[in-house]
Amino acid sequence: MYTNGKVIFLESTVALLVFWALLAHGLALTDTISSPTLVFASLVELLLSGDWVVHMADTMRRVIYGFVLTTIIGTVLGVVMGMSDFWENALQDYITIGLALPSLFAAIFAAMWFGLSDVTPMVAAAAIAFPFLTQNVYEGVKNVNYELMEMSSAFDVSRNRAIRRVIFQSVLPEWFAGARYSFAICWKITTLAELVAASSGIGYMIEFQMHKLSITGVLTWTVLFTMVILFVEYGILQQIEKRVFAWRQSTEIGIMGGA
Amino acid sequence: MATSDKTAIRGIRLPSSLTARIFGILVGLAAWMLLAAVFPNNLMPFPLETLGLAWGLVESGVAWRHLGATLWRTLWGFVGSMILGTAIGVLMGVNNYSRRFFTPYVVIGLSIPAIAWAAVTTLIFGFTLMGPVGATVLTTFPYIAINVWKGVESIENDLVDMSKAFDITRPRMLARLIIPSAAPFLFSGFRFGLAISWKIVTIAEIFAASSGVGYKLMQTYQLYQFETAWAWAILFIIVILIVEYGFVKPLERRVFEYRRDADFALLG
Amino acid sequence: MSTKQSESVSAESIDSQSAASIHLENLGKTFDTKEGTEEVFSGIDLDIEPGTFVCLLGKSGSGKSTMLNIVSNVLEPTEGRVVFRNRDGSEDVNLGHVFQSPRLLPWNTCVQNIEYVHENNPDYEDSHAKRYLDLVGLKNHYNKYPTQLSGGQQQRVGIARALSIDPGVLLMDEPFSNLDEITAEGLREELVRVWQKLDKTVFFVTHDMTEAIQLSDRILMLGKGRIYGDLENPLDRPRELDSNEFLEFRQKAIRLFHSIED
Ligand SMILES: Nc1ncnc2c1ncn2[C@@H]1O[C@H](COP(=O)(O)OP(=O)(O)OP(=O)(O)O)[C@@H](O)[C@H]1O
Ligand SMILES: [Mg+2]
Repeated sequence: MYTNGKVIFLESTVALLVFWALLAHGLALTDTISSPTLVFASLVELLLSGDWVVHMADTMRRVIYGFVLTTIIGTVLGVVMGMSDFWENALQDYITIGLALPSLFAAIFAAMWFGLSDVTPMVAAAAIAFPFLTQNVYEGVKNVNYELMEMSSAFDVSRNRAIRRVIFQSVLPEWFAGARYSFAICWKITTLAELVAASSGIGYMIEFQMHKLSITGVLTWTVLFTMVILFVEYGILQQIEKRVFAWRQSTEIGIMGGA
Repeated sequence: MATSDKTAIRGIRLPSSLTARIFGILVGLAAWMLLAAVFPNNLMPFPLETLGLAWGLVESGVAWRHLGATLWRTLWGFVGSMILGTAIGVLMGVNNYSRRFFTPYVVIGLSIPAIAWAAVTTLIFGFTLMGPVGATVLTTFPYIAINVWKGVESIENDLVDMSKAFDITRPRMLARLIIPSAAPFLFSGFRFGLAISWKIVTIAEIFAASSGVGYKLMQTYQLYQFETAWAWAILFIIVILIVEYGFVKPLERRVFEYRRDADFALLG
Repeated sequence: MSTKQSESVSAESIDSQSAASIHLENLGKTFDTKEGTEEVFSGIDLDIEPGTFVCLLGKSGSGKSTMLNIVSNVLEPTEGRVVFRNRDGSEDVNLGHVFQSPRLLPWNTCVQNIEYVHENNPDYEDSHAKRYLDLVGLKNHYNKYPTQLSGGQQQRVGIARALSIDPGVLLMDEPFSNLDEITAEGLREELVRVWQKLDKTVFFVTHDMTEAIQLSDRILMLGKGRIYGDLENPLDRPRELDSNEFLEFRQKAIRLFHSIED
């Protein structure tokens, strides 16, 4: 079964590459759509030159700043809204608007206020991402299983123990799911903000290649970034989720963070 | 069950929830005024000023042109991603082989940032409709595919067997069993798809167009016309809210009608 | 309790196709699995008279569902065949299915669920569905959704749906096994009453001896790949579950049922 899955994976990847190569070479479109070999060669060159390290590090640093801010705001608001009917009603409209807000707005307004600094991507990412985390935490807090709380008090479990073993345990997965989701949003918005206002980072480099009209360059940076993201998502985050929440049904496809 | 409790409680507490909402809006406005007072006016204009500017854009007709262009691209991007996403989602639901075959496309698709697609489609298609639309379709389809796939998986085999036992034809099964049972998932795919399409179209308009809200916003930023940027933002949010409450919410109510009926009946 | 509900309906308001006979001819089924082939049963010959209530009894895994699925055309037999015959000799017979779980479309009301299976019936009207819902005692529930009905009521809709296509043969695979005993007993009584009103052959699968005796005219016992027991049910209807005759016959049947082990 497992090897079979790998074979199919290989088949679908090869199918895509062959399709791309045929389109590029067969129809002589290499100037417009580049080709797998060109991108691969340029990727190897980029990796060997080491130029990518600085940009990747800058982007990652900004993603982490944004994510930390998102986590703080998102968690606090989610808990407050989940515990208090008043704040639930007072803030609900902002969450609705926040969920629908186009990311470009956040990027541009952050850029107006904070210019070419790390604060711009941080604020833009947090502004777009935190409503998603708030929503998850808030629903998690609301849906705490009251039967389990009743069971706990029937067995004279202390309040602290019940909070730790029931409330915390049942909100944690929601929190983690929301955090993962907003992490995906953070790196997407960070690249966008870099494109609007930055002089380094993956988003900046994609724009730079774009202005050089180099499709190979755009694709090279995209492939590099995608590989790193896939590694972080599936190599790290999904593994943590699997270990920590083994009792929960896991989702096969994790990154859903809307752009 | 839970719904009935809540409705009952809400019935009594309506005034206080309304107060909370109004309080929320007032606090928001106050915060805006405060920021506007502290920051230089061009960075953070007052609410009324912004509305005045927005009205100016509407009156002069500029707003219609750019909002219209963005809406038009959003529509096509959304339709395209629904078609591609539904096709792949259905294929993924049909059998194991195709699920595994398409999973990498969906997973990789989810991890490519919109700006990358926007750059690629601009270089390929130039300033045509295909630029922003292509970027939108390529960014959005994985989200729809996942929802459709879950919807197809959710169809109960027992009901399919039942239909076969009663000799139901495929078109009827599709209309009466498959589509209704996948509807909540299709709808959430639809919703998600629409929400993302707005966002991607505005992003793609940065490079791939010379009209549209995204293009205008970028332009105002580069020309340091920050008050105008605020006016555009307000206008666009109003459009999104109109679509949300005037179109998506009513549709949602219809899709989930049978569930709601069932819930209400539990009251009695 | 249940008597009151169905009294309002007269069988005359429903014109029913008459019952058909069922003939199994040298029927056999073998599954091909990864571990090799698995013969469930073979060489089964059986004739069931029109209008008979037959219960097929067997332990778990004996092949009851397999046989029912072959009779209902869901599975192909490996050998032999199944023939249905109307009293006039024609072989064009409607089959009505009742499943172990009700299998109702959750987004459709009771009436719509019945309407669903009338695809090829141009004369269908909702009054038709309502007549059958009346028949199974669901007079005031026409427009309810399945989630608004109890498990027993849902199964009644399943029965009404099967009857509504006017089958010559009604096929039932443990339809009451998911219900509590009291509800199941009430439904059995009602099923018998409906069956007595309408002329139907019933092929009913169960693993419960009491249920088989309460319902059937004839009990078939399946085990070790063959029909090893074929009992006429001598009890008069209506049947009292605690009468001496019932308990005596039950003893005898149970002895036969367990004889396969030795
Ligand atoms: N599709 C299949 N492929 C292979 N073997 C099967 C298949 N379906 C049933 N069997 C086998 O055939 C035998 C009879 O199964 P069947 O479902 O008919 O039993 P049953 O008498 O209905 O049992 P129960 O009372 O538990 O429902 C079992 O040993 C089962 O493993
Ligand atoms: Mg069975």
